[in-house]
This record gives sequence, C-alpha cells and structure tokens, in this order.
Amino acid sequence: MLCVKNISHSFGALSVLKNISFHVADDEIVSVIGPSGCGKSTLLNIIAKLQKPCTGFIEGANNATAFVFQDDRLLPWRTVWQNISLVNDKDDDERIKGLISDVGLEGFEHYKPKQLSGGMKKRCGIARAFYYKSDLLLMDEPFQGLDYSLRQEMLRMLLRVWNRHKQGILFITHDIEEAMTVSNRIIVLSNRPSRIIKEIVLPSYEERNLTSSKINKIRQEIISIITD
Amino acid sequence: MILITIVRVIIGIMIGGVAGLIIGILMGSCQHIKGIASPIIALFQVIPPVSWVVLALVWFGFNGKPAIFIVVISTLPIIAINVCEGFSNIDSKLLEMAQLYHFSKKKCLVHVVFPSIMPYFNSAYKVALGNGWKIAVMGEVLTTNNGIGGMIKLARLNIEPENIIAWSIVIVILFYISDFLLEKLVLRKGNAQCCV
Repeated sequence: MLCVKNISHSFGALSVLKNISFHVADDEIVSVIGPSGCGKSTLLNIIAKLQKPCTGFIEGANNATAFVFQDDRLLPWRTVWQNISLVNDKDDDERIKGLISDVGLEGFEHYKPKQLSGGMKKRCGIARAFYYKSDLLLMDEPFQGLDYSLRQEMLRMLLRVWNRHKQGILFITHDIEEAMTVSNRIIVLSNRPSRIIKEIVLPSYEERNLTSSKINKIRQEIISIITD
Repeated sequence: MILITIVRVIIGIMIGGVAGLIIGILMGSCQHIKGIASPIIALFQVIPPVSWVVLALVWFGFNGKPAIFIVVISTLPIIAINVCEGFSNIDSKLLEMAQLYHFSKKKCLVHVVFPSIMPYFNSAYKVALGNGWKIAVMGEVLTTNNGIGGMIKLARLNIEPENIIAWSIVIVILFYISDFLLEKLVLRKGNAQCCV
C-alpha cells in the first residue's frame, strides 16, 4: 500500500503542492485529477522518488515502482519482447508471453518500436510496467494524445490486464471520463497551490454505468470543482 | 608491401578507436574530465601530422612504428569528440526510464548508453578510416622503406610518376575494400545488435 502523508512542495517562491495526503491500496486504481499545471506530475515524481518533497513523506512505496509515461520511452533498438523483459533481471518467458497476449501485441513480439503504431507502443509500455516486479504502478497521463475510440480501447485493455495482474495503480489524468472509467476512487486537486478538495469513491465496475444519473452527478461535481 | 601497410592501418585505427572511445565516454560522462581533456584533444587536432612524425622518429626510430603512432594520434580525437557528442545527446527520458526501472550500471551502459552513441561512433570511425590510410602512407614515406609509403618513396627517388599514381590507386582500392568490410561486417553487425 502507498501512503502519501502531508506532502508539500514548492519551486522557489512558487508553492505547487500543499499538504497532500492519501493512500492507494494494493488492489485498487486511484485517479488524481486536477486542472492543467496544478502539480499532478510533480506529485508523481515525488512518489517515484525523482524529486524530494519540501515537507511530508511517502510510506509503502518501496524502491520498486513501475511507471507508464506520457510518451512511450521504449528503447528504439530493442524489440517489444526485449523492451518488456529488460526491466527484470530474471526472464519469465511465460509471464511475458501472457502480458503480450493481454495487451494485444501477439505477433508483434519481434517488432521494434519504430515499426509500431502509437497505440501499440502504449500497449508495450503497459506490458512492461505490469511485468516489472512492483507493488505500485504510476501512470502519468498515459493515453494523452490518442483519439477517443483508441483511448476507450486502451482503457478497456488496461482494466483487463489489471484484473489479471492486480496491483495498486495511481493514475494521473486531466480527463474526467478516463478517471471515471478506470478508477475505484478519484482524488480531485485544486488549482495551484494544489490541495485535495474532494475524494470520490466510485461504484464498483459491475454497477458502474457512465451514463447513469449518479455518475452524471459525480461528473458535474468534479467539473464544477475544477472550473471554480 | 601492401600487407605491411594494411597491418599498420588496422593497428593504428584499433588503438586510436579504443582509446578515443574510452576518452570520449569519460569526457561525456564527467564535465571535469571534459574540461581537462578537451584542450589536449585540441592539441592532437591542431599539431600537424608531420610534426608528430618527427617526434615519433625520435621516440621509436626508423621502423614503421611512427606510421602507426600518427594513425593513432589522428584517429583518437575524431572518435573521442564524436563519442563525447553522442554521449551528451543521449535521450534523457530513456536515462530516466532506466533509473526508474532500476537498471544496473552495466545494463544501462549496454542497453541505453552504447546504442545511443553507436551512430556517432560509426560515422567517426568511417572518417578516421579514410584519414588513417592517408596518414599511414605519409608516415611510411617519411620513416620507412617498406609498405606502400616505402614504394612511393622509391618511385619518387627513381622519378617514376606512373608508379606513384599506381600506388595511389592501390590505396584508393584498399580504402574502398576496408570501408566496405567495416560497413558490412563490423558496423552493420553492431547496428543490428544495438541500433535501429
């Protein structure tokens, strides 16, 4: 479990994060949503230990944290299979094969990234992150720039893979629909300096209907918070 | 005679290439080393090969070693500067990915650093190879009586311009062959293993 406790951060005089506290259980997807430039990526960098917070601390995220980036960050000189297998020291061929199948890249194992489409690269990045032995997966707006139908397909694929290889996911996004589709909980951040304004628990995936009045109410609530 | 020159070029290019690669990596990975090594590398570039030949004659004598020495001296800065440049152009996002996924230093070097600098190393090596043939033959003309340079020297003494032209054509053919072999067998193999 990841526990973020009282994290505050500033760049010089510019205060970015203010007293942020939340947790992510080992088998849930938590989305962090907020206006552009509110410090979502800074929060993720702090959790990934790429940056030190000015105050506060992180508990539970040991050194092994998987990451899915905004851009694919695949090694262009390695194949899909190699890009996935490289993140662990010992190869587990069965697991790699399973993950490649789960993300829909069967038959493309020996393709290099330049031979893949944007969506395929994202799939490869997700397979790599799930293959990495970690308790927590950080996703930084992974589907940004994809068209609507592809994004929906990627979200369905993410949920399918997550159902098979359950682990805690912290999903950073500025897209409300993405957050509503994929998360168990949504944490809404305010404008800079960011603080948590609201934490919303969504109905279970089975009961969730994105066009229902309940979800619409939640959607409107988030929109009003963000645009305030 | 041809074989002697070929061996000298290969030895010189290999020593200069390996030394240049190591120095280039050190320069690229540490600003302090770059600060110290850059003026020295510049010296290698600016001092004319003829000056190095005279010094090498004093150090090694009339035995062909000066020819190898000046090939090393001319190859080293080309490789070092290009590898250093390649190092500073490594995609920082890939390095960050390697850091986040806890790549060991060896894994990072093999899978991120070397493949990133390989295109720079390859093009530098091709330039150094062409340069190496010219420099090696010049060194032989000035310091030995064997090798292609020795033959050109003999032709000059006997005033046989047709022989000089013939040996020059031999050098060109040798360059084409070596360039072809380097491209097809060495660099392409390296590319297949680590580059796009």
